[in-house]
Amino acid sequence: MDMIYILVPLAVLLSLIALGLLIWSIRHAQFDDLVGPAHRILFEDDQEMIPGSKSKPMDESINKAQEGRE
Amino acid sequence: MTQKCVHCGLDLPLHGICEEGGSRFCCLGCQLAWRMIQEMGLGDYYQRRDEGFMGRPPQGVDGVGLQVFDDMEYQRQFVGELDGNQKEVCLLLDGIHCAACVWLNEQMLRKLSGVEEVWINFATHRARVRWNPKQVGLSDIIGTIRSIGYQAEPYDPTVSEQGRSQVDRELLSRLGVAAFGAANVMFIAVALYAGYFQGMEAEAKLYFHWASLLLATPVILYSGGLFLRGAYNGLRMGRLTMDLPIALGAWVTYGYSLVVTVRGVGEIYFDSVTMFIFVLLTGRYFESTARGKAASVMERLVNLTPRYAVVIREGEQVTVPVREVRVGDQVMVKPGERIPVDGTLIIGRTSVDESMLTGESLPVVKGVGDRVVGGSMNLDGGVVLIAVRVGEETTLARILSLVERAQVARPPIQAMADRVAARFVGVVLVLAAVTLGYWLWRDSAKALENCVAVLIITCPCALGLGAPAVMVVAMGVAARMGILIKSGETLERLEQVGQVVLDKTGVLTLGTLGVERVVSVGELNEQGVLTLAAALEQHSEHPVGRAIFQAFLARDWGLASVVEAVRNVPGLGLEGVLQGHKVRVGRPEFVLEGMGGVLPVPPDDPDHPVTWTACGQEGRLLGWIGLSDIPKPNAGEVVAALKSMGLPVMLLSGDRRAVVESMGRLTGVDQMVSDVLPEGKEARIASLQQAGERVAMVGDGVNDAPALARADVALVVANAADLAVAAADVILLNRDLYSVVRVLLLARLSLRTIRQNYFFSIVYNLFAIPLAMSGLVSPIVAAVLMPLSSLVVVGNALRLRHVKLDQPVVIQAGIG
Repeated sequence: MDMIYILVPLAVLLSLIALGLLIWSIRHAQFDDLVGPAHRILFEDDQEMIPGSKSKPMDESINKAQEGRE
Repeated sequence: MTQKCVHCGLDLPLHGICEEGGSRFCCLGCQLAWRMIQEMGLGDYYQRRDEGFMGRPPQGVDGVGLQVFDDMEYQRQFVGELDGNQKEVCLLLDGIHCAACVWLNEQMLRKLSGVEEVWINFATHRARVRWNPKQVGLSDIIGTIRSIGYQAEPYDPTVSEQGRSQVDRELLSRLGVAAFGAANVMFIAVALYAGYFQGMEAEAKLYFHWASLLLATPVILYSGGLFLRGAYNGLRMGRLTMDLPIALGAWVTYGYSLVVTVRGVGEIYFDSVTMFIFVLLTGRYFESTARGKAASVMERLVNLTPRYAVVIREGEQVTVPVREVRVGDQVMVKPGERIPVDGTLIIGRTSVDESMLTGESLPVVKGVGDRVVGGSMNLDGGVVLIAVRVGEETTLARILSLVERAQVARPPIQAMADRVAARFVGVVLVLAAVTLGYWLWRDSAKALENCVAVLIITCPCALGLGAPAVMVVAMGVAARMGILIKSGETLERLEQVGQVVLDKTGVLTLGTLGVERVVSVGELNEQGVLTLAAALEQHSEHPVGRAIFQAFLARDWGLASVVEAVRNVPGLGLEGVLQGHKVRVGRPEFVLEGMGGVLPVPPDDPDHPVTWTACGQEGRLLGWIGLSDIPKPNAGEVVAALKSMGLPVMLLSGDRRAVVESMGRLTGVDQMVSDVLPEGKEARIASLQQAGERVAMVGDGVNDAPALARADVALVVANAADLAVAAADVILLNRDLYSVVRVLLLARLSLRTIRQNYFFSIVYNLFAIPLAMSGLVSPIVAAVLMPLSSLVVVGNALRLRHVKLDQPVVIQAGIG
């Protein structure tokens, strides 16, 4: 039964670590946007890394589009 | 079934369609946006978008309008400088409907060379952009966003959002600590409960007591500190708030358990303390996020006056920021632009839309010498005006300051919770003192224990949760119905409302013109008259013209005829050539031009006034078309429902008397007031309040803003003028006017539930206090009673979710 003198502090320590992580993530704005991350998972931001994709840097396309406007 | 533009999702017009790559667009702007998106490899955007997407064609993409964003003075307010030669800005985005919109904007901006970081918050539609000013400017960034059909506006985060998110974060941290403490103390408490019944070694029991003490201390100090601070602040201002009994109960419980632990004799109640601090904080956190959600919708683009104006100086057209326009400057305004300052026309003739100011749904013709108001929309003619009032003196600026003053003058209301708390604390303290005194005389060993038992058992959990739990549930129910309520206090104000005031245009009516009557006076029948008018009006940008054309389309008689040589004469009408004949539509003098004689009189019905447009051929009048603003389909029902709830309804409008009275009679309101300016509207509300009524006002225009700010509850229809939204307590997101009835019913039901909760906690206390006073409360009894009371109160609040709000009148599934 003396084990309890170790186990209780151990359990508390573990939950203290969890609490520390919670407070750290709150401070780093992790809880400010609860809707976004769910959608961001489904974004495909890696078009540029796929060989043969059509993605290009912006400025070329903006110039082309503006030429078309005149 | 009309086709839709591939980019913005709006209906394709009948002419002027652009095509590229097999897709059709409503205008060149959309086509270019589509092309740019495709070339960037972001074409997936169109697949990911929600079905039925309805956006806007790109606006404001010309260089002139964007220049102002690079102005140093302007940037000083909004742009932060960071080291490493970077700048940062917070932008408010408009037009975001779904995840695909956020994705597109982030991708487009990231691809601009010079943009270091873009992050868009999904919930609030705010963007944070960091960029290198040497490579790209703020005007390019905003220009890019506009070119794909969205709007962006810089804002100062410290003013609104930063404060709120700081508060929310701190609250969440406290909640986290309370959860940590409560959970750990609970698991130890289970052991103690077992020990209570089965027997436990004194050593182990003491160990657990100390462990619980160490865990509960941060909870009461950090998490519970919120209530201490609230109680202290309240006391300093001479008010007894709900925080006081909560703080008192918590500290007494903690203090008693502390003494027990140190003395090594008795039972502890740390589990009760930590538990109810945790539950109370959960309630507070949900309340805060619910309020935050409503508030962020309310802080939208305030963009009524343009940023720049075209001024003629020394014969040259110069674009300057609006604040640099001086009295006496000549200002040029093109059709489709907003007039930047108050002024007098000196060149040109046009119609302007002053609905934001007067509530008049029809455009007003302005000629040389007429006054125009800054912020109104110039419709069809290019004009030059002389600036008469600028800056803080303009009508719009004065309305803004009226709003601010009205908000300050608004009568305050003491929350019911605080009133209950005040009485409660007093009674409990008295009873505790009585207990102490009695037991000191009777059996002084037990005196302190019983006194403390009284203080503990009157657990403020039921009392403290009674109102917040109900408010959070009510705000959630409302949100699901498309009604955003700003705060719990709004619910209380709504319940006390004794008078409802409605604006006319946009609230009671649809806000757009509709064709009501077509009258034939010549050889064409009604169908012929409307067809002829529509053939010309399809080329019109004017609200009257568009309404006529829409009415023609709605009747589905086929395609409009093609008219040649179409000419728009601002303020008078349109003319063209149809099958060899010269045809005209517009004012009667224009249609009959050159034929002299007496002007014909339209077939006006004085009880039902409409605005008449004439239509004719070769100087001969063929017919009249009567237009007016149509009431929403369920307007009459809504008014009837409000009256059956015992609420008199007043119609308050800036429009002219005949129109207002006709609308009033049609919908059945009790009182009609017309021809009022914004100041007049506010004065009306004030006089109703002085007569002792609590007033709820429903409005949507800038001209309503001062009155809305003054009213006890301000309800605003979605798509209202941004200034009105800023003054609002409730936003009706769906366009159904019946929401006004629903929110009032919800408020009454919520207050009834809150009173039930308070009644229950009083009964509970009446039962528990005598038990405590006579020393019959054993620790186990206390430990069971306290959470039980909280559960009952929260459970009662949750019943609100099943409420049906469609009585007293059966609703129509109208959109309104």
